Amino acid sequence: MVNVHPSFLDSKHGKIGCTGCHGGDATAIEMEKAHAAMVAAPSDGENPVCGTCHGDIAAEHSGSMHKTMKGYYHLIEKRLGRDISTDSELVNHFNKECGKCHASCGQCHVSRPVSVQGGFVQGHNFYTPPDNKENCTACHGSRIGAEFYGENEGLAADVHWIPNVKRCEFCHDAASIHSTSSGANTRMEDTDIIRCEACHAGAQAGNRWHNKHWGDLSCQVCHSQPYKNCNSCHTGGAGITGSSYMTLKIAKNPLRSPSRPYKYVTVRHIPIARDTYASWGIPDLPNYDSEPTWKYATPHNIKRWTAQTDTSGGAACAEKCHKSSYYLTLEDLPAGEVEANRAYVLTR
Amino acid sequence: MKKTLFSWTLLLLAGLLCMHCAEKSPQSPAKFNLSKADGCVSCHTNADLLKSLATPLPPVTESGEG
Repeated sequence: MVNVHPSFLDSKHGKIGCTGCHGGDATAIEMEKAHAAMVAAPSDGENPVCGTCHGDIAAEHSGSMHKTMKGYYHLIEKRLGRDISTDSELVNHFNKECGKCHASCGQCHVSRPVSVQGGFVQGHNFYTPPDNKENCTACHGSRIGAEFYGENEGLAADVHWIPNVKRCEFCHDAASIHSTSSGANTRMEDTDIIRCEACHAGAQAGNRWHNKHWGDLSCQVCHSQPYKNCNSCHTGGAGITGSSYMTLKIAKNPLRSPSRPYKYVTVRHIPIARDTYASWGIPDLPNYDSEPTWKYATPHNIKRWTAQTDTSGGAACAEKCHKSSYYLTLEDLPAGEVEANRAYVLTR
Repeated sequence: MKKTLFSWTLLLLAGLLCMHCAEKSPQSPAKFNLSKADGCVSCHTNADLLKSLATPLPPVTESGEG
């Protein structure tokens, strides 16, 4: 329902006039005639109308992963072993199931994302930064959102979440969200994404544990609480079923790079099986084992004192963490996932 | 004189007929208060009208990349 609040009409964007962005015929009385040739979502598509005034941002955003969904494409293609962009049938499946999550200008600055059925957030008034709950975690909600806001039972919100003070944009500023991700294939390879060390660089000498582990462990290894791991969802197949579950697992870094140099990181189970794309006509992913099913993760539920760092009562770190159940081991893996993760598991 | 009076009477009757027709078949329902000057705004700021025209959305299922 496109219900515009009268305040929008006096705003900068409102003064452009409806047809300035949406087309259609403002002089027609009948709905069908008025809506003929109208563009409901003018910020969608290859050349968003927003670029008329905000050309630099629109150009930058045209290469961002929020727009291109490049990360999804990349990992499907790696497991499939071939390019899908020239296969119209696969592209159709992709657009129908994965592509609906892409974010246009309007889906962050005017309405809720289409993947959660849209709807104006402020009566068509434009806003920046995006609304954390109505925009950011409307998409990134089932895992990151619940972690960040402390919605998982028995677990606290992220220390970086203070409503109206510290929010998503405190770390993820506009430049990094609009960015072309420096040509990265996935968001985890995106060097434009902020790192904890950008603010906490001085913490290395802060205590003996930091001195000992700095650079070897990602911050989340010690400062995350348990987080959601997924077993089903996505496109289909019977190869992976069951409910999501809360745990924290540490493994060797599967994406070691200058921007993510750590030897050990937290990893999250993702819902991928050999037959996940069976409904796309791919009953068995040929290169399924080329990517881990426990993926590099940056849980958003950071605390200073966690089960790993709390040594009150004289408990030693070794008891809390070393050789603990936090390690991802071969015993944690079902037979079908051993090869995909073998290079990253730890031994107790 | 009679011809002139007859012509004026015909003109008056035609005028009344037109007014009558216009009242019976307005171009747009009065409750929507549409006019060309308002353009899109008159409909898209009228929540009651929009609700009456809207198609109910399907139920939301859990969504989210992560």
